[in-house]
Amino acid sequence: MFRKIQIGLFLLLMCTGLSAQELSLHFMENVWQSTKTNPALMMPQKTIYALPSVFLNYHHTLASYNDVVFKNAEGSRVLDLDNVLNRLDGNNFVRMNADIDLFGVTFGTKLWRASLSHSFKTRALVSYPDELVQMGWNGNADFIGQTVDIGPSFQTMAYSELAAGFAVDLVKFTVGGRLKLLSGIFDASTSASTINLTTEDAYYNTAAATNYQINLSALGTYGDLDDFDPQFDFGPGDLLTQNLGVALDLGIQYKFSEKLTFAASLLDIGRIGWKANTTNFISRGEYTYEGLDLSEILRDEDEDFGEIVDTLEAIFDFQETNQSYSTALPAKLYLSANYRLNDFFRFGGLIYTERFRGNSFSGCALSATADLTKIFSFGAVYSVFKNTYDNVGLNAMIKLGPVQFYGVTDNVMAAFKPLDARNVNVRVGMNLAFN
Amino acid sequence: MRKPLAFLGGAVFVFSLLLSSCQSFEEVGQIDEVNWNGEFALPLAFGTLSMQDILDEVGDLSFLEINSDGTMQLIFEGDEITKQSSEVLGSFPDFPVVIPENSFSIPFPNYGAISIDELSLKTGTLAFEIRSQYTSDINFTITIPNLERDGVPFSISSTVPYNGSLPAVGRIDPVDLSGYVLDVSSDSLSLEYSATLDGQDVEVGLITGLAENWTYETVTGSWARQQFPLAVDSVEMDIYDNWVDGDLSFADPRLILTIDNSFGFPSEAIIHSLMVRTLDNRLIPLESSALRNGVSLDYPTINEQGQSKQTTIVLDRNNSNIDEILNAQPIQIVYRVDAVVNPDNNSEVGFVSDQSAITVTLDAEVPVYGAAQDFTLESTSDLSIDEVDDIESAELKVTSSNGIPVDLDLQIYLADASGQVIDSLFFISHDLLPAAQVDDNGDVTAASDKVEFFEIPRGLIDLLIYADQIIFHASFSTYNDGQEAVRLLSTQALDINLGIKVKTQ
Repeated sequence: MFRKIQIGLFLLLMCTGLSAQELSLHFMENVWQSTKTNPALMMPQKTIYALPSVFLNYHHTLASYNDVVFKNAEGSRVLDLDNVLNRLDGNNFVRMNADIDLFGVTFGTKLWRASLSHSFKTRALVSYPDELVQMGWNGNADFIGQTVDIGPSFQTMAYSELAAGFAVDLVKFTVGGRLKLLSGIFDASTSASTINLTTEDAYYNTAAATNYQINLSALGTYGDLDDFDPQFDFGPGDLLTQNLGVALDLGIQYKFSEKLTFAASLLDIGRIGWKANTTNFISRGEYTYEGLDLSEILRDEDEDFGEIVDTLEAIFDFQETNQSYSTALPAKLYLSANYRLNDFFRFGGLIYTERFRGNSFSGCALSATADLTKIFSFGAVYSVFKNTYDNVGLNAMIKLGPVQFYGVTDNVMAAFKPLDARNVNVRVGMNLAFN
Repeated sequence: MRKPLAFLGGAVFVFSLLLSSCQSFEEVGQIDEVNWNGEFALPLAFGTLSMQDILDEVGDLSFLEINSDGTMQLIFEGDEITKQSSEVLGSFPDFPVVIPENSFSIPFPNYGAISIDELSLKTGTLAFEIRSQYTSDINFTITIPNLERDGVPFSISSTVPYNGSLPAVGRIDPVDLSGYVLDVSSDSLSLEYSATLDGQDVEVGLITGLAENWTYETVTGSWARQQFPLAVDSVEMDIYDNWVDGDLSFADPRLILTIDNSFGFPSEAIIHSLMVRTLDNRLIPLESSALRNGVSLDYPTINEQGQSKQTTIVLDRNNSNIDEILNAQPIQIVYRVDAVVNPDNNSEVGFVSDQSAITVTLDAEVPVYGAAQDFTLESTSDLSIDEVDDIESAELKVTSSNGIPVDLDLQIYLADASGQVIDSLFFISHDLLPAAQVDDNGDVTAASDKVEFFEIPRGLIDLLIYADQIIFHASFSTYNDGQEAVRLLSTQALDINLGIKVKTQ
């Protein structure tokens, strides 16, 4: 039983997160999608049609799959978290993003550009304290006499985004903005996530004090916590749902010289109000499990280990309400510098930070890009962000006539050895670009 | 142009290397083993177990009596042995009646050893037959002046028809005498008759009759001395049902013989024998000055008819050797009691009714106040534990605060289906639960606290899984290793908490 719980916990952690940063994309100045990182960036082509593209990103601060699952000498696949427990960092994160860009168009002159695009996006973050893993894996014996908060916090949301952007060249500066109309499809998020667990020293009595709230909203049905089974009822006619939100992207680029530019952008400043089919599961209370009551047993009254299950239910004792709520998008800040050495090579530097559910995720990157011909460019990016220092990204663009193919990753090793990576990130797509 | 081409070539080379090392996702999520060595601490059980809770669990505690102040006593009740008056006196005899002349008295028979003065009839009949030598019909009336109902003497009239042959015979079918009261203080029954022929008084030759099936509601009279067996019985004492070893002693046991008597005569109980059968099948007689002579029983006077009087004989350490015999591992008390009515054989008038009875009960009252030394009980239960692969070992933590002045040691054996012991689960050396401390009177002054840890290695877990039976071998001693008598109260309690640490593998 314990083993199943642990394997389930492990798989959940490994599979529920993708992370958000796109550092390498920022340096692909000849691909329109780079404006996703700064709406002030301007493309040289008159018109670009973005065809469907996909972006996937996963980041787990604790471990890769192969860090915790390996083959032993007998060839058996062994799950072992011992090797990664020393990496616990107070608060640990699993992040996952997945974007499907359905279409996009941008057009304009050298002085201005306008754009319109639509995407489906998911954003997920699971944050869990060290003690949840330590207690789940090593047991609670090390925490006898202590009170620890093991409550995980999470948010998983899916929404569609209709964006209209505009950028203008002011000679030394280029400024741009993008207004995004958001329509929520699904959200499951915690708005309170305290589960204080105390293992008392005297009798090992286990006390739990909870202040935990899970909010759910979905187009469709999802059952309840005991039988969670989301059934989405979502179609083309649901581009604008009850779950509306607005977000704003702002960017600026400063041309210091012909070769050196600086850029800054602030993205996804906004939130979604969730009103459709909402349920709030709220647990606030205290409960102490003292074991079986011997006097009840002596009186031959019903008392068995099934009570433990009842106890878990009693600990949480979720009450349900149907209040609407809102969640913020993960806001991002890009600060970058770009230096063009000659017609072939350019170099860049980037500082990135993101704020999501009260947590900051920062990173920095250095890039070198070769614009080998007008039809092919290729770049490499080295980036550092939370707990990972081995991220070498690659990006490439090839243009055959008006058809532009591009691919980008912040961790090329992860693209080929995803089971060894804690950070996986890839975007591929195709544009039609007309001069 | 050469540089970009070289760069492109290098990039293609790097990509080809990376592609060659792509990973398969086929095995993702397939896990054969979990290298898990966690340790979990859990509360297993808790409880405040009062003496009453514990004793309730022992089984049928009909023998346990709890007083309002919490003191307790074991009451071992014997059966209620009742001797009804009808069993002593037998049934009333049928008797003939003869009336040879107009007024005649016949002696009235005794009823058992009772010389009857008055008899209240519950049932019974009286039938007559008249023989006439007259060649005409004869009318006649029979009267019994001292047999009355509601103040009216018994009287019955009939005719002897002449049918052409002599003697002519007339019969009076049995007459119901229910509710009649017969006064026979003169020891005789007076009967009268009158007969007429054509309006003239005549005498008939012979009138006979038969009294049948008489039962009484009350008989008043004198009862000559009579001795009869009252009770031969035994009282079971279940204390040692699961006993294995050790001694148990009680500070102030008592035997109580209770006799309820509704016979309206002086009576006496004679205890012929009162013995205790011990666990080793010895019979030890109870000796008491109170039993050397017969015990006079209280009885209702003639004006207290319908009442029952109770006589209680208490045998305790002051008037008997009960201390000795009830501390010798008794399992049964056997006794025989006779009753003697009118032991002095005087002529005092008394009564007996059809409801009169003498009822005897013998109870043993054992106050739960005494000492136990290694008093050991054993109990066996079936055991069935499913395979538990994940557990490497466990450590049981027993935290107790014992407010009961009794030590508990516990040994647990594991046995196979045939009862053959295969191992002991663990041995808890002395004082698993140390007794509460007591004062000189045996009253608890302070609970005893203890924390004990017990290792349960994997080997024992395997044995638990393998075993079919578990044998609890529990040994109790009162405070100071059974050297001091203690008083157990229903309100005394044991606080116990069981916690466990389980190491997984």
